[in-house]
Amino acid sequence: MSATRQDDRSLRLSTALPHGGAPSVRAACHGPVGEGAGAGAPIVALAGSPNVGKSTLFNALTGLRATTGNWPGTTVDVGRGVWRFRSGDRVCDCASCDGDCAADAAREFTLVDLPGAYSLDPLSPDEQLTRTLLIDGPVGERPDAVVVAVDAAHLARSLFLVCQLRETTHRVIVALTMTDLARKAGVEVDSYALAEALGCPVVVVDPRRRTGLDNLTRAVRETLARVAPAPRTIGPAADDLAREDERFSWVEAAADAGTAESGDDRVSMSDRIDRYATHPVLGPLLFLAVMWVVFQITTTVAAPMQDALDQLFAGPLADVTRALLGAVGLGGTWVEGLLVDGLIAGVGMLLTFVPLMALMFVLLAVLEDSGYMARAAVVTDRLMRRLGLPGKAFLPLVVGFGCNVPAISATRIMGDVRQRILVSLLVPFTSCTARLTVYVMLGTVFFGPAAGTAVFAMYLASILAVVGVGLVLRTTLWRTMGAEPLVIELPPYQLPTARLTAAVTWMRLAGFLRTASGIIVATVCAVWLLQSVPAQSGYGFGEAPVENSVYGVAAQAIAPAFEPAGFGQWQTASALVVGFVAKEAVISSWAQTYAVAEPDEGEDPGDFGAAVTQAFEQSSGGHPLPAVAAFLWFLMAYTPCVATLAAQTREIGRRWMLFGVAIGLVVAWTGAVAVFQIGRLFW
Amino acid sequence: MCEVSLANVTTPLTLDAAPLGTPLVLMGTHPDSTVARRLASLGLRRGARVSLTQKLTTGGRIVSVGGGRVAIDARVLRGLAAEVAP
Repeated sequence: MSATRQDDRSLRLSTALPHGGAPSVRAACHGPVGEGAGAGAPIVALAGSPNVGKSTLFNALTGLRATTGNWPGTTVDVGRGVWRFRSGDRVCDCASCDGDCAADAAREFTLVDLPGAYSLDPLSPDEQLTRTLLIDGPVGERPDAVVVAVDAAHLARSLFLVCQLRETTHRVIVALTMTDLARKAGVEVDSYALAEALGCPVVVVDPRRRTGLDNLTRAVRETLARVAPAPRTIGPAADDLAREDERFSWVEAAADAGTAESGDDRVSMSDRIDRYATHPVLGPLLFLAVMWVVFQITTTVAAPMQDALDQLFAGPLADVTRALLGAVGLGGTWVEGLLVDGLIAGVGMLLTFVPLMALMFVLLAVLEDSGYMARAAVVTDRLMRRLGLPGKAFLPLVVGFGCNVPAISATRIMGDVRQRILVSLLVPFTSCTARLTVYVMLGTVFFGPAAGTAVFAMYLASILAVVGVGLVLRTTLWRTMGAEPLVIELPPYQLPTARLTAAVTWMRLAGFLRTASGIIVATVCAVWLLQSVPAQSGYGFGEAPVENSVYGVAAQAIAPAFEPAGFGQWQTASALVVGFVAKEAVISSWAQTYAVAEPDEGEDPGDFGAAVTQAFEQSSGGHPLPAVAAFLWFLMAYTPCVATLAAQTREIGRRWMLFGVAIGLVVAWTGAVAVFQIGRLFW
Repeated sequence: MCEVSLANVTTPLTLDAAPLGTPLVLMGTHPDSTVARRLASLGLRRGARVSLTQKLTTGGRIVSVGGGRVAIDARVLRGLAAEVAP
């Protein structure tokens, strides 16, 4: 398989193109986030360097939930939303403006969130997308105005894009963000002087605290009402270098004019923290400690809440449902089986993990918003370099620990095609939060008070798989691949805001719940149906024991493949098959299987933990702990879900996706067999 | 690779050998044009005032430029000539 043959495919961008033509902001109506305003509404593009608060501004203006994070390269897709004027917004010069005064003016805009770009000279696919949407498309396809988010704390760096846009016919409005951080760093920006130097409006906004937004609305509205300004006049240049020098001189002059005081030489709080966070020895130790604390807090704090929810679903809710169904004459029928043993047992078990997921998302949001994740990329650079990858490859891999699907998209921050393919193949080995549910369940059942450490060990195993598979691929398929140099911007540390943390947490939790209510319910129903259809004659629908159902017979055919790994019971194998669709479905289908199966003598049919313990005892020949460890390894390493496969197909093509599936199954099975066979010698 | 005393330095040195905390001025651009463009977009171009604030693994440094901080590995630093700022 050749990497170069995939170049075009891997450069494909996910912007939806209804007309099948080149990407444009007018065609990009169906990005991953939201829909636009009405057909006649002006289209405003939101551009800016990476990590200047662009997506936070997008969310504040549209009320949507684009992915945000305090690291460069958070946005790699195009988001789209409606920028509506809010009641009471002062959006014009009227004495008592409520936004309704100018009937002939636009009442709303379509806002398009573009990937971060330092300039219009792209070095990666996400930057190429920004250039294509702003510059390369036909004039009629371009946005009506461009809002450029500019970091007040790093003015000169952020203005290069403004400089290049001012050489075009675009209407440009500068949204000055992070003025609070600039002030702390001793930098005072005079927005009026800056506007004069740039030749376009400059508006101070704080999207994290939602201030200055009406002023920005007003500036855009006024700019749209005027004719487009004449492009910046530029003299002839001898070559590209001379042209860039001229631009930098213009940028510096504008920054000097707009900056009252520069705090360049100050030793900041961020510098003091970085002495430890990026220290060659302490940095990696701190990184491991932070991750360990995250998993400890997640598992220990969530445990009592999980128990309470578990008791609610398994007890009162199931009992009330049974009583209600009995009252209407449906007791003991297939309806009771579907509702109580299927939906309540399966979905209920999954929902008990909501507190755990919420806690994990809060902690990760705090780490992301604080700016620590960019340091983590620096700390892990040495490791990444061994794989022929730059330190910033760590960022999509970190995203993968939340969910593999956006992580695959995030590989676009990398310039080299082969590096993107390699990272896309490694992302499925990063342990997403859906897998966390199974770790916690089995960890609690088999390791008791050490469950947190067991979960942490699974994340270390995940990192081990990433590194191991990366090294193998690097030394076989991509021997000539050179490592991209480490050049990564470190944003200042900041205190995470409650609003942003809550918004990011809710966005991710809602995604989890959507999956629970969509894929999981469908899977639970499918599993229930397969369990109800008998595979042998002599049984009616829903009458056969599960092991004699279509589901049970199919699982029994697969189960022997897992015997060398110590978990060759058909119930366990069936959960893994369902997990191919989505890992969230593993627990639910597993719970469903045991709820439906005939309990052994003396076994409480509702005691899922006891049933699983017994299954591992039996299948492992008396070595349940190595069998559980092998099972967890398999679960961590094989295909995460069908959505990840779809994302891989989109980014690197079908052949590489299938290659990735094969690698995952090989690593999962061989690793699981090795863990069990070696482990049973000691446990 | 070793840091040098800058007490009487008048000739350019590369950033990988410069000591922490000393104000420096970049003397040229990186020989790799792609890297040079990336550095320039972060403010690291000829004439920029920089200083090194922190050592990283494998010889990299955190470079302070224009109020911002950029982590750069040793290989790139070796391609950046600088002199002590006046």
